[in-house]
Parts: sequence; structure tokens; C-alpha cells
Amino acid sequence: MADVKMDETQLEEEVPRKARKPFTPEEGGLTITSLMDALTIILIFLLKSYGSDPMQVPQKKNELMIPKSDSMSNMVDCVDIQISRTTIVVKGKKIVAVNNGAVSSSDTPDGFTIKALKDALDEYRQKEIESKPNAGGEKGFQGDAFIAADTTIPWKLVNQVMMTCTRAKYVRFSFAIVKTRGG
Amino acid sequence: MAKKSKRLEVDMKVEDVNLMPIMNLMCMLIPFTLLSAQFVQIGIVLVDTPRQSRSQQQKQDDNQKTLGLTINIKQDGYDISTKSGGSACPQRAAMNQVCIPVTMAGGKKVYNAAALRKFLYDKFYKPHYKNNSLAAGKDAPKSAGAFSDWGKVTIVPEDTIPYENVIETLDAARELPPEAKNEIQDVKGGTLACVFKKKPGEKDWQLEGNCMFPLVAVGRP
Repeated sequence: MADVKMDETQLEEEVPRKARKPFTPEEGGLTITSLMDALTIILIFLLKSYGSDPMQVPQKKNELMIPKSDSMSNMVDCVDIQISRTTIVVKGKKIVAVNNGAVSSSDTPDGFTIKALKDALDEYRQKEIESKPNAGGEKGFQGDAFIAADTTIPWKLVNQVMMTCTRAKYVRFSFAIVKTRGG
Repeated sequence: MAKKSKRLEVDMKVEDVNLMPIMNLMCMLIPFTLLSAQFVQIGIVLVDTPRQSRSQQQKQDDNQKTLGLTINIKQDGYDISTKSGGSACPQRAAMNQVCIPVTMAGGKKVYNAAALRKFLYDKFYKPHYKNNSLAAGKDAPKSAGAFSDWGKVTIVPEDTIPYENVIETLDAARELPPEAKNEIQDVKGGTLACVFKKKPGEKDWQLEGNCMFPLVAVGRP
């Protein structure tokens, strides 16, 4: 400590006050570490909320608005059928057109079964059975179907879709809802 | 010697990590994930078809009595009946009226789901819940006065009923009303939520929480 003091007095003696350079603060760089922390947290949160649900239901105004419900049950991965105001979609693929909440009579030869939907579901069932060879084949097939329908769709159409699912051996149904409480 | 060590000190200086490329990446990823993220939580309501529900019930004991609770969603409101007792509101049925009529709000029909929940609770759940249990399982011995189809309800909507009203009816039948918290002694965990859970790889759904009539079959019996 004594040495340091001596050095300072020596310096003052050696460099006269006028000859010393004026004090200029060091150029301040942008500190982005805290910003990086915040962005990392936001990114992790978003990625987590993006990947938590096994299926996505894209909602569109005047097309597919899912009803709200108190249910707190979560969805599982299965075949998903979307009934919007204009189309019936299975696993993202458009199957049948919907007009005024109904499919045309040519699509339902017997009045109940939607033919194109049954064909699509049969195909998916076959694919599902083939993809799980250890699940017990036809006997082990669980037949879970997930139906996301627009709030305004009349029950008749939802019933026709359910009947078609039953005929394609999808016998357990879950209806998509927007949760009104967490869980 | 002293000069040499000073030079070594200068060489050891480490430069700051350049964070700009990572920042650029972050700025690209965040808007992308914000656009594709879903901020509404999608859940499910489990339903059966009446045929599926009947085939499961036939496997159970045939000697036990059944409740056979049915809710008809009609254009003019909810009509409730049981297999054994007929209409749940015989006086209104005699006048050709439904049990819980619709109300009009802003020129639109409104189904009174809260009144339906209260009705089911007062008329069917409260008088019978002590003799019946959903948690007892299929194989457990049932007490006298127990229904073999306890917890089950069949909902029959008319063809033109909007899907939204069907979901409201499912909610009303599944969940207990708020007064159950004080009136029902064994409300587990103090919550009135009724949740279906399924573990990965398992075939069947398990019920958790406190439920009224959670096993719903929708459609014409």
C-alpha cells in the first residue's frame, strides 16, 4: 500500500498537471447479455407451448371456431377430423365439401355414411395398423377419433361423421373444445 | 525477465464473444414461433355412441337396476327422462312442455345449461350418490340400491341443434354445481373438476376428480 502511494506521488512529480491528458471516459459498448437472457427465456417458453399438444387445431373466424368448455382433459394423438363450415378435413387432407352445414346427398348414399370420409378413414386405419406391428393388428386397434367441429355446425352433420367413423371402426370419440380453465 | 512477463500478460487477454449472430437468429426465431404458437388451450370431451355404451353395459351384472338417464335437446329446451321412471318432470310433460325451456336473449335461443346441471344434481345425483360410486370399479361389489349404469347419461340432440349447445349440455351433465362443495361430504381435494386422463400406451381413460354424469353417449339410442 505504501508502495502504491509512493508511486502516485512520484507520478505527480514527474508529470506536471498541465501536461496530463484530459480525462475521457472509455467508449461504452452495448451490453446485450441481459437482452440475450430475456430473449432466450421467451424462445424457450414459445418452443415449449408450440410442442406440448400432440395435434394442432387451427381456428379461423367464420370457418372453424371450436366451442368453449369447462373440460380439463387433454388430447392424445389419434386421427383428427375437422368439420368446418366449408369442408371436412381428415389429418389435414380435404375430404368432402360442406354447404350450409350439410354434405350433398350424393356424398351420403344411405343418408348416414359419408362415403369419401369412410374411404379416407379406412386408409388411415390400415396405415395405423401397419405402423404398429406389435400392437396386435386389428384386435389391438384402439379406434380413437378426435373431432373438431365449428360451433354452428348442426348436430346432424356431426352425427353423420360419427356414424361414418363407427363404420370405419373408429368407435371412441373425443370432441375438441377450447379450455376455459387451466389444467 | 520482468519485460518478458509483461508481454505474456498482453497475449493472455480474451476478447468478448460476438453475440450478434446469435441475436440475429433469436430475432428470426421469436416472430416465427409467435406466429405459429397457439395461445388457446385445446382440450377434449370424451363421448361414446349409444351402441358402444350399451355393449359395455351388457357385460356388467344384468340383475342390477339401471337408471337409464336421457337428456333430449329439443328446439324448445331440455327434456329429461329415465328408463325406469319416464319423464323427470311429469307435470310439465302432461302439459306437453319440456323440463327446462329455452330462454330468449337478443332474439337468440339460449339453453339454460346451469339450470340443467342443478336439476340433474338435485333430482338424480344428490339422492343416489351415497349408494353409487364411479371409483368403485366394474368388478367391485355394489351396494343395494346401486345402479349398474351410474355416471352414464345419453344425450339425444335434434338434428338442427348447433354443436355448441351439445357441448354445453355435456359440460352440464359432467360437472357438479358449486353448491356440491358444501353439500357433498366426500368432494375429493375440494375441487369440482372432472378430468379424463390417459397415460401413453394405455388403452383406457381414467377418471379423476369429482364428476356427476361423466360417461356420455351422444346420439339416438
